[in-house]
Amino acid sequence: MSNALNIAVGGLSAADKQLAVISANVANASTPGYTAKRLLQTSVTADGQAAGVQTGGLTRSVNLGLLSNLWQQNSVANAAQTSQTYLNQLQQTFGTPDSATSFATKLSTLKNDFISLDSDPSNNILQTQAVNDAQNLVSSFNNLSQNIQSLRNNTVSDLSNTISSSNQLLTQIASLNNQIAKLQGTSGNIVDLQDQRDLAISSLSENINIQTFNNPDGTVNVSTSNGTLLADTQAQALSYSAAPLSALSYYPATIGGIMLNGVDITGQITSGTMGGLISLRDTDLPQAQAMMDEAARQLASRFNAQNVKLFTDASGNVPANTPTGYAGFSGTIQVNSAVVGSPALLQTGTAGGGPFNASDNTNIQNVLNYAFGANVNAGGTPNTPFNTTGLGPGGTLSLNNIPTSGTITNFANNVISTLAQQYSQVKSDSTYQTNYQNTLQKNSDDQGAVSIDKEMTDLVAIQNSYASNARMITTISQMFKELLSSVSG
Amino acid sequence: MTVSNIGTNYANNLAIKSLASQIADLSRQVSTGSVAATYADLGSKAGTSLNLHAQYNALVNYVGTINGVALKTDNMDTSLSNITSQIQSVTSAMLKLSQGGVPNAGTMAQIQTNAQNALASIMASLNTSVNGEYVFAGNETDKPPIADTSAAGTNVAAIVGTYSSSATPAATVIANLNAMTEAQLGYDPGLAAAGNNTFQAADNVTLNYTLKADTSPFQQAIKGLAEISSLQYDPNHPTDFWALYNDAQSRLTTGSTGVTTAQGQLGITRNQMATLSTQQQSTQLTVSSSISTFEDADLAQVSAQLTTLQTQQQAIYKIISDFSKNSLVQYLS
Repeated sequence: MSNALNIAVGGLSAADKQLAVISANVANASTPGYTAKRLLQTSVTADGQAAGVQTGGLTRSVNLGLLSNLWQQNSVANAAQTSQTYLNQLQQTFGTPDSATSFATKLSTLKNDFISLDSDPSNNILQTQAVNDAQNLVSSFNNLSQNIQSLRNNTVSDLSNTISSSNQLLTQIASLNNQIAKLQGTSGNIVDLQDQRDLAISSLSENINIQTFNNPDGTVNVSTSNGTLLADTQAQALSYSAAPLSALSYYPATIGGIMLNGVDITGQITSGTMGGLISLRDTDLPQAQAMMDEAARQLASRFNAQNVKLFTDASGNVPANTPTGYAGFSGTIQVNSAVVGSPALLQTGTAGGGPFNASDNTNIQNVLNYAFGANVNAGGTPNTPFNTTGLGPGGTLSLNNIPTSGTITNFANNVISTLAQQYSQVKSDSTYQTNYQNTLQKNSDDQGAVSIDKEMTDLVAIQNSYASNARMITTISQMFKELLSSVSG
Repeated sequence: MTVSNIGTNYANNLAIKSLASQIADLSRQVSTGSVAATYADLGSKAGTSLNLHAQYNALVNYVGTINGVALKTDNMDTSLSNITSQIQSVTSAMLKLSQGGVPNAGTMAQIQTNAQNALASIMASLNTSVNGEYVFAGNETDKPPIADTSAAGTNVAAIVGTYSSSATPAATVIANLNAMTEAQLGYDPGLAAAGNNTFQAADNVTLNYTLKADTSPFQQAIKGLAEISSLQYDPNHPTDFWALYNDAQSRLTTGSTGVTTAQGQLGITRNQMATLSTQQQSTQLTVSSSISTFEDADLAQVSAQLTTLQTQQQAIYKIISDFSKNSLVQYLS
């Protein structure tokens, strides 16, 4: 009976510990990263006889494969979301389809001015209107270029903040690794530390694409997808010089890399918020800038070829057809000050000649037919093709899906529609990747997160177990009384 | 019930967020009447939308340009009708004068008065300006094509007078009249070299409505009228008188025919302009309708979608509400 009593007391103790675990689970049900814990409970035998129950350490229900997939997806989804956020802002700068605010629409407006001037070329009001609309067009180019560079500079500050946040997370992961390594193999509670580490790794995976490796000592190595170690029991610090950018800044020549122990790991960062920001800074936004620069240079060049130097750079020149030389031109293009001072030059041309009769529309018609047309002259010689490769300050950018021939208005329309479709694809991709991320997150939660129903069910079972063990003790106590009573009687 | 409360709530929150986003977008469509807030919202139709807008604006502009030019060509047509009418009134009067012998002095004087008035009227017509632009001056529209309206009368009279004053044979006088320069007729010195009046009336369509005051029919008419105005009967050279009289009549007939032909050619251009204007106004409606198809929200459809989404939203709120009740905690006492 003494043995039975000990077993029952052990049962009460085990139930008590189980209650504590359930209590902790319920209390932490809403704690970020917390997973439901279970207390290991085994039967004890001695010489083949039942000797009671014993409790072991805490375990958690986590599918490590699913978690790894979720972390990878975190990176992919965050890169897509970052791109979507930025490109959405870029889209806003082109105006709404039903308004006349896009640079392509303003270009059409300028063409219409020349159509009007064609029938009345010496009309001062029409000439001034054309110069005003040319200035509106130029402002549109300048503003777009400024907005693109402003967005690029935002990527720099966001990148800097994300790197700072990543360094904190790496420090946290290293610290948790150390704590876990010390407690591994002891009776210490490491599962809560593992939860915290998983949460930190999950947050890190939103910033940067990583891979993890579980060590036998319980620690986890976190590295880039190329295997460059970011944290084990020691955190490596990422560094980045966040200098302001201009349209002429490009990586790696004039923009510093993301450094780790003196090594540039920018190329290894392909997703996560940082990957998205790098892609925006070095590819997506510079491509948009290159499109605008190409449109601006061709506009200036095609007008100039028809003896109407309406658009120039700040020095009054039309840039040469050297892509790296006119990088950023859309930010500096302006209306020729000579034409602003004398709008009549639209009719008489900026290269002199004449004398011109009042309704001589030779230059106006040349602009209409050739500057706005596909050919440079009546002989059918095409205008200089649009450059779609070797663009940007480094000559490294290419434009896809943009025809190299055609009119300047078609090119402008193509620029807007290409960027619009690019954003549509990015938005669609972001929605898909985010949905997939959410699905993985939900599956992971379903597997590891606290279920109140499950805890309540366990609570009922534990209460019953506790009551049964108490009943055992009561019964054994009664039996002792009976035994003592019969012996004394 | 799903095992995980957190997972389920997470999914529901996302569903609510997605619904709220869709409802916000539909509400914007109802308030603005436009499907798209950005070009990206139009997807693959963005390029088409831009092209259609450009096409629409160009069409509006072309029609406006045609209307502006039509004002000039209408005035040109009126002037040409006046010129023809003036010439014909003189030629009709000239037919009344019996050929040969001494001309009836009264009839001759009436013809000459008519001719002088007609000459002045034609000069004025050829110097017609619309909004400050001389319409018969080619592209030299800032200068009247006939700079000196009295030169033709004076110089023709001087040449014609020689048949009487110096017994110059009529044939020589006629040859001298034919050899008169534009300067002698009072034309602006730049008129001969002035270019055409052209304008773009549609994509790849340039129309030419040039009719310069120095074209042959006008010169013939001017010379004919000046000739008859200054022709005085000389009984010593009756044959030459009638030769010059007939020459003047011939010039007026040729001039009248030529002006009528020129008016007909101008009429063809005016018809082209009218046709293009009508076509482009019709195309404007089609393009506008296409733009509307791409960009305008179907309010009935959007309203129906809004109602559906609001119902879904209410259903999700109800489900979340039921979830909170549907927990074991509620049944444990």
